[in-house]
Amino acid sequence: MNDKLGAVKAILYAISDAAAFLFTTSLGIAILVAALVALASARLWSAVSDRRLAFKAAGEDFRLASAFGAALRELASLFGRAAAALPTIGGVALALVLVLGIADSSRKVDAYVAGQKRVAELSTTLRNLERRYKALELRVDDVKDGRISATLSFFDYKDLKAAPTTQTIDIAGKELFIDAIVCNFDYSSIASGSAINLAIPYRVFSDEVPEAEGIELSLFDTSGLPLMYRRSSDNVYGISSEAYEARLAELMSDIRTDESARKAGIVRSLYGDAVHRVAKKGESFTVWVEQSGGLTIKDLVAF
Amino acid sequence: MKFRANGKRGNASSLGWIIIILSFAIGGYLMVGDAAKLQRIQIAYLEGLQTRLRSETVPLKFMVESREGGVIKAKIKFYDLSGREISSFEKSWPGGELYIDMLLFPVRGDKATGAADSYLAFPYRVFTDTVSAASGSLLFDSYDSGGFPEIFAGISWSAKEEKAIKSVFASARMKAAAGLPAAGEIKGSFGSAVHEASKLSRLEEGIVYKVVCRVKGGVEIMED
Repeated sequence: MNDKLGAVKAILYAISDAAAFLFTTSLGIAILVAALVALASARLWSAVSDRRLAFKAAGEDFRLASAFGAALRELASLFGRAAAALPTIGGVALALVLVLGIADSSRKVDAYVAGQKRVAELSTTLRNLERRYKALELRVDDVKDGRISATLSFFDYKDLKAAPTTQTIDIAGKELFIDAIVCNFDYSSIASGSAINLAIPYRVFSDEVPEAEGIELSLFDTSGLPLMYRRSSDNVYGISSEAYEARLAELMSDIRTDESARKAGIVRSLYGDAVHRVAKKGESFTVWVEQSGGLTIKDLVAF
Repeated sequence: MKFRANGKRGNASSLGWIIIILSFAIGGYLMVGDAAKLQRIQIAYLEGLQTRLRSETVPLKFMVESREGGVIKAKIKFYDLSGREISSFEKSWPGGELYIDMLLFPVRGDKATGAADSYLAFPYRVFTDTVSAASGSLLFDSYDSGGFPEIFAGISWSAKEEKAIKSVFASARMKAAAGLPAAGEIKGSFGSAVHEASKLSRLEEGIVYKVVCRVKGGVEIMED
């Protein structure tokens, strides 16, 4: 059916393009006028030749005035025939206009359908790029005597009903740094939704306590997978839950060595990122993994 | 006569149908044209958004020159938005991992929630895993040109925009000097200290790396 429709469209477009070329472009109009002039000249030449032969047969001289008269008569006859054929010419012109209109509409509909596909693709790409995933939440419990007390919450996406795993920390300083390994995948993988940028928070330090003396975070499950990337079987599509976890473990192993990640050709950048903020008592914020790349901190908005 | 009357009525009816069909055809044609125009605008908008999300600015590049006796020596160069080098400096720090700290300030954000359309990123300081952030080397002076951060030069700003950038930069400098939230601190600002992770992604000596700032506030280290 589609093949037949395609063949009809091809013929329609060919007629439409030819008509559009002949009647709407300067070159087309020039060709058309030249063809008409050539045709009329041939008719006139033929009429004058016939007249000249008739004069010759009658033994009379064929003068220029006779030739001119014969040509004028033929020209008048041509105009007369053209005038008689005006309804037919009008019908053909109308048919051509219809063909042009149908072809143009068909092209516009085709372009519109292709455009809708592009809109859907772009919307999916944007949705994937604009997405962000929560890495952890932090609440500043107290800021006193140059020390910060805070509670960090890690979420297990495999069991959404479960209370988040929390860790309380106490550290000297005014500013809290949450250090994470960040793995940004190639944009094409992110845009198509086949990969998401990962971040694994692993340490907290402060403006006064260097990273080497910071506090380790415990957000891994017993098999070494980060809690926030665990998923229940209901939330894993097109792959079994076991296969997902095996793939995740493989990925974690991959990003443990920069070289293997780069060899896999999937990682755009792999580095550490310690996002930080001055601690204020009672303030809560979330660390997000941006799918356009990197980590950000946003205030936790009460709802 | 009766037959002729029927014939006339039949012709009129056919003409009516032709007019109706033609009206629908012309209406449909115009509607498809309008829909296509709107669709082109929508596609251009979505493509613009996609480009914006992927866009990046590179205010600084750096290179680890050596690692000897627990000391990292690195060279840092600053660039404006047109890619022109502004300044550079070279220094050594004790430690094993180099941290490049950036301050991010939201622009055109939601004042209530701190949600931002985009962020202005200022190189803040350099420290290491063994040097605390408070003892790190400040970077502001390397690109401060009479109160205007030269990393934002290279394109034409309106006087109002230039004033706003200067004001945010002043706020960043104040924050750095006080080490505490300055009065009138911009809501939603945060810091992002990108660094090598020695076990995973070691910065190689002699290789130039760039600090890439994304429109949504993310900061990345990428090989130049």
